[in-house]
Amino acid sequence: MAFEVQMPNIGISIAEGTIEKWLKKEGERVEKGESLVVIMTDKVTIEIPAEVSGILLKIFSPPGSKVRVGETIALIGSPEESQEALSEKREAKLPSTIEVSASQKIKDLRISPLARRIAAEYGLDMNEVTRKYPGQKIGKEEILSFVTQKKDQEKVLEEVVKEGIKDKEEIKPLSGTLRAMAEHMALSVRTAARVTTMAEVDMTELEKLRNALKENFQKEYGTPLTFLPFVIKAMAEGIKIYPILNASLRNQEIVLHRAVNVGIAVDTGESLLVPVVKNVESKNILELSREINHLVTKAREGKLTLEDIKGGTISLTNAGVYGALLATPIIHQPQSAILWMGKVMETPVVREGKIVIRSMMYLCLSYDHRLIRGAQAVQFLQVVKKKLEDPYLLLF
Amino acid sequence: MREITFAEALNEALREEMLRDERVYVIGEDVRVGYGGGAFGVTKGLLAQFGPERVIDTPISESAIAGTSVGAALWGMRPVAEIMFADFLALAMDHIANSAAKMRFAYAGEANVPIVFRTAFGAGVGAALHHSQSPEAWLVNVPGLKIIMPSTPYDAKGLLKSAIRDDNPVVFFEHKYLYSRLKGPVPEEEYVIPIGKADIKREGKDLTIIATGAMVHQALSAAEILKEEGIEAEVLDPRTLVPLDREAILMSVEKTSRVIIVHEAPTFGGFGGEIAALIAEEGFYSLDAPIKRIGAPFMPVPASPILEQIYLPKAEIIIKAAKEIMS
Amino acid sequence: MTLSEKDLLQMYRWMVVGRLFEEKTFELLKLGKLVGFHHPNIGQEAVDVGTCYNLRRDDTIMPTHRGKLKYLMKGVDMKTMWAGMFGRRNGSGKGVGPASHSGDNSIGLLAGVGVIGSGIPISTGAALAMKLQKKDSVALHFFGDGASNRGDFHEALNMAGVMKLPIVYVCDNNLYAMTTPLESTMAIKDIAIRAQSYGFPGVVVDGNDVLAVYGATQEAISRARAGEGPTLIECKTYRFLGHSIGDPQDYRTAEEVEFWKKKDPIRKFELYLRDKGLLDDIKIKEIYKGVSDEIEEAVQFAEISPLPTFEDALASVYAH
Repeated sequence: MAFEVQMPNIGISIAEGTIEKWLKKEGERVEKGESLVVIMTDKVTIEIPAEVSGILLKIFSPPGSKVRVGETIALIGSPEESQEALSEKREAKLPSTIEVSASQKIKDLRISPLARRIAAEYGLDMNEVTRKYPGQKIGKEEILSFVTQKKDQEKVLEEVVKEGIKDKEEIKPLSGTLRAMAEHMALSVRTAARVTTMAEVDMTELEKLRNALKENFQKEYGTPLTFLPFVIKAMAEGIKIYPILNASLRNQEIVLHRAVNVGIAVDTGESLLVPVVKNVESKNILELSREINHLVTKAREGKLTLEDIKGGTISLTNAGVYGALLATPIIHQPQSAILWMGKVMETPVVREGKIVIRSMMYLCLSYDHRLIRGAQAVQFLQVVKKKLEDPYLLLF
Repeated sequence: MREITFAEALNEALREEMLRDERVYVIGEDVRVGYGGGAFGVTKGLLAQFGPERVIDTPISESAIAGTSVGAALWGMRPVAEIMFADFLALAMDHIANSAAKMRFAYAGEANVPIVFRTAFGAGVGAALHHSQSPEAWLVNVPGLKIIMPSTPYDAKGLLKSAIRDDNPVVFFEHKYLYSRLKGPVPEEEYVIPIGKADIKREGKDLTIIATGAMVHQALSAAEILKEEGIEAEVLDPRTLVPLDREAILMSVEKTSRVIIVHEAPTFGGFGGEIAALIAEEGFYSLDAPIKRIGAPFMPVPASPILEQIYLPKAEIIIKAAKEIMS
Repeated sequence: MTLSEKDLLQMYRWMVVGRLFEEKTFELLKLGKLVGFHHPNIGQEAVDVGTCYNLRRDDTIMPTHRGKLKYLMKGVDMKTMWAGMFGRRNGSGKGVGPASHSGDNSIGLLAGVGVIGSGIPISTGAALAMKLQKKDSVALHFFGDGASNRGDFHEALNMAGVMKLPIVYVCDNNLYAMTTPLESTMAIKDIAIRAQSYGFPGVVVDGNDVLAVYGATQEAISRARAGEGPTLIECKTYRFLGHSIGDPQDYRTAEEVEFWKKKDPIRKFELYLRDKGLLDDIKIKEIYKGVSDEIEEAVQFAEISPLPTFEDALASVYAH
């Protein structure tokens, strides 16, 4: 009896494959274990070895033909059997325990044309229907019963929904700035190839510095001293070395902005606004502090002008004040990067073999991978980190 | 309403049309005397009423009967030519298919051939091989002919009158079993039935049985029994095979979504195949079950009555098929 | 019916028409301009003219595939005939049916059928109609020696005989049924004797003698008109060319053809008329030129005639 070569069960969810090419010809001798045929599936392309030695008597499935798992695709046997093999009819054998995909199942079921038509009219998903009647004949009766059941289910759901939320809902229209934000966020995610990289920053020194200065600063200049101007300066330093972080993709062109205009994300309670501190590269800590304070106040009072929010080239968010640790911020279009600051917290770390307590903070940088490479982003972030860890030079 | 036999209904039709139009004449073998007017009594009394010039006996010459009818029809007459047994259509085939069917075409539409070829077909009377066939399938594929097969006296009379009035060659199949055995209501007043219109003999919602000739009655019997089992069958009688009432058939299948086709001719190559193909092509999405055809087995009609009964499609077979497609 | 000098010249002219028409057909066939098959009648003009001369409009003829002259003599316009042979919309058959069995009932031209011999019962049916209508018109049916062996011949003649139908059966026996010689197809020498089986006279006549043919035909027609029933006229004749264009004529000898060419019916009649002083070289030339011009004109008409439409064909299947 000739040995039936069958399409093997390659994987749980693979039900069929396509013959790419036969490595042996009809009439050729094949040894057990030798590669016999190359089969393509939507997951992998594999070479199938011969399970027995003999003559490849007949190839039933030529290159390009689709074969189901378990289907006989060739015969291997003795030379005497070759005549027999030529006149033998081949039958596809489907193993009963294999799991087939839902779409495969439809071909095997007896669905009447009328049932198909009704299903189409009701916009039913035939997969759903066939799952309900596995291996069974599906006619008009079964389809209509399915439709009725579905309708009943939907009715119940509706009732449940109505019941449950009656007094617990408040409806707010999505209009104005909220709507703009919604649309902008969705657009940004759709457009940019956003990747987020993170670095941990040892803020102990900067903390010390700030603590030393803040009281006098406030008294002298009437402006609070936050970490923000330091971070901004550090960003500017990073951009000097990696200007691509301060660029935009415009019509297939990379536009490198000469000025570094940092947008500061401000949550006003009502909405999110991003006023821009312009030309940070030429401003010192004092100037930056003043400007930040000015803009944030304006934002909170709803007095920002168009000028205030235009022209940003990179953005900065300080969510650490709210206690957040890490984030994957969304880039503010048409910028290509956004830096996010987490909370500063006392953390045990290892320094020179010893465990010490330092004030640590995470910086999260989301960047647009369409123009910024991972290496650039990561290294930029390292620059920012290093500047912040040794902040004294930022004062000048 | 009065009830008359199938043969009597045909006789009335002939009589009325011969009175109405003096160009109509009857020609064939033994039509003058026969056994009470023709072999089956259909031409009874016509000789006495209309004389030998309008009721013409011929020698045994089917080809010449058909051929001379073509010539006469071309030259202003309206012959009703009888081919005694449908089996003998084979002898007249040349003039029915090659001459009559194509004459108008040869004249490029400038002449017509208004003939009715009447013929007795069908089994069930023990007439065996050469006197029992249902050869409608020999002719349906010939463009230029109209083919009619009534199943009741009412249909027979109305359709024969229409056939005689039609200017095309018509082959009119009369089931010999029904001639004297089937009585049915036929109005006294004049009426005609249009050619090409099917008739729903029984309405139903569960399946459609399309039947012709004597099989219409088998279908109706089957429908009665199915009713007791809660299955309501619709019985559709095409009445005219060519031109076929496609709309009626498709509408019925749309309504019931299941169909059985029954005819006496052998299933293979029978006219049922054409109807099945039509439904499969144009009524595919109406179908909730496969189309079933019931015809005779692929053999000549056997002689002995026992064998003939096994041979003929009947109500029991229809019932069985109906239950199968209903499940 | 006695023939006047005018008649005789007319008959001669018709024979010339027949001959030149066939020659023109041959010419056009070689140029591939004609539609369908054509069977040359050259040599058999006397049969056509002798039988078809002086027929009434309401008498019917059904020609065979051979001898378009009969169509013209019955009243088909030559332009219409040629247009039909070119397969045009305004020609015999309109391109839908072949010109070679086209019909026009208004001039008593019954369309034939492409089945040899099947026309016999059809013409017989027309004769039956005439009898039933109590008219004294006559049906003439043409067929060859080959057709006389068909069942339809026997069935039809038998019916015509017993019903005494007003029909004249004209058989042009040209000794060959396509490529099969007479002696291979029947055990008798004269087809005319078959009429006896059916109870009516059968006459043999020299098919190349136009006046002899005319005489026999007229007698048969008189019989029929008088209600005396059918006659079978057998015209012994010969076709000078093959069965159809492309026939290599392997079944007969050149000598035999030459023998019959000496009996050319037109030549025969020409001599007779010259003898009677009705024809001379000038007159003959005149007639030939006139016919030739007529044919030329008609062919040109056909060449520019409109093509047939499929709608015409579809509308020709069923009467509505």
